[in-house]
Amino acid sequence: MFFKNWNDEYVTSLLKASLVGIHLVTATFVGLAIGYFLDKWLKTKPVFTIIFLLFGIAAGYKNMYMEIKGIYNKKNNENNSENVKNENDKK
Amino acid sequence: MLEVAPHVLLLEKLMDVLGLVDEHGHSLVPQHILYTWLVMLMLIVLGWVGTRKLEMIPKGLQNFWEIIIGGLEDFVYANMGPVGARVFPLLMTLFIFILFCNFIGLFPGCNAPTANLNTNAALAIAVFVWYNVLGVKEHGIKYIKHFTGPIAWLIPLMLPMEILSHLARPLSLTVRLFGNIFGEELVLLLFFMLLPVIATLPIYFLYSLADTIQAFIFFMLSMIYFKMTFEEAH
Repeated sequence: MFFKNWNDEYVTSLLKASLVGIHLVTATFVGLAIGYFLDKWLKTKPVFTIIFLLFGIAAGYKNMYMEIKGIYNKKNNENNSENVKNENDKK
Repeated sequence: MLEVAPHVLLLEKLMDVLGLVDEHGHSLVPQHILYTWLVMLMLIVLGWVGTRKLEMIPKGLQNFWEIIIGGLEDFVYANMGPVGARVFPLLMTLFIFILFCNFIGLFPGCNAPTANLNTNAALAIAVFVWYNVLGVKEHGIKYIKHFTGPIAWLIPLMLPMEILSHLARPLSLTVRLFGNIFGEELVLLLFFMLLPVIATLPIYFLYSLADTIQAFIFFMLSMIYFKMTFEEAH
């Protein structure tokens, strides 16, 4: 059935991989928006815009890194558990 | 306002007929809210009918609900462990609501409520607030450790970054769902203009899959956020 397949590791990894791009972009935009409105409020153009934009880009890359790490770890765990299973079978 | 639509929206027409319009002829209630009400009504009725006579061997509507809820329950427990029971009702509500909202956009004369930023923002902000509240309830003051990172002298750098990446979550939830569903509606409309009925039929198969996937992605991401909240910071 359609809903049973969601448990599949490949499906969830695929969905997570499809989110990597948008997470990078949204974090950057949130940083830019916060910086822009802080500057507007405190009248310190362009100090906060630049600082928060840089923070936003860094946060975006960090998000991306965590996401890829999550997918990669999942894959490794799977391989390990398969190896263990195979060894047990051999015994 | 972003509206897909030179096509006739039935509920808006209904408001027109009932006389609930302002002096410019616009409906007093925006169309995405009208269709949200329709989805709510459908879900209430379907839920009521499906659970009225519960049987050991499910059939019909009860079977439908059991497949969706049973399958996703396994998924949540496999990913979150027993703590998943605390957020499962919210996650499931989100999934079913978004699924029905997406699918209603495929019917002629209807518009998906999720093709509007406001609906999606409401859902995403609800998730955002709720996982932070649960985090504070679960960890107390130690919840701040989720934002500071592992190394003490890097805190001034990590804190703004983490806060930004947390703030980006509701935005990415909102924008992705909106973009996908809005785009879908627009493409359907364009294809319908090119070649009525025949051109849109194959696309319906693609979009019924895409709608399910979008609802599932929203569900899965919310689940991941809740999971990260319950985990100890490291």
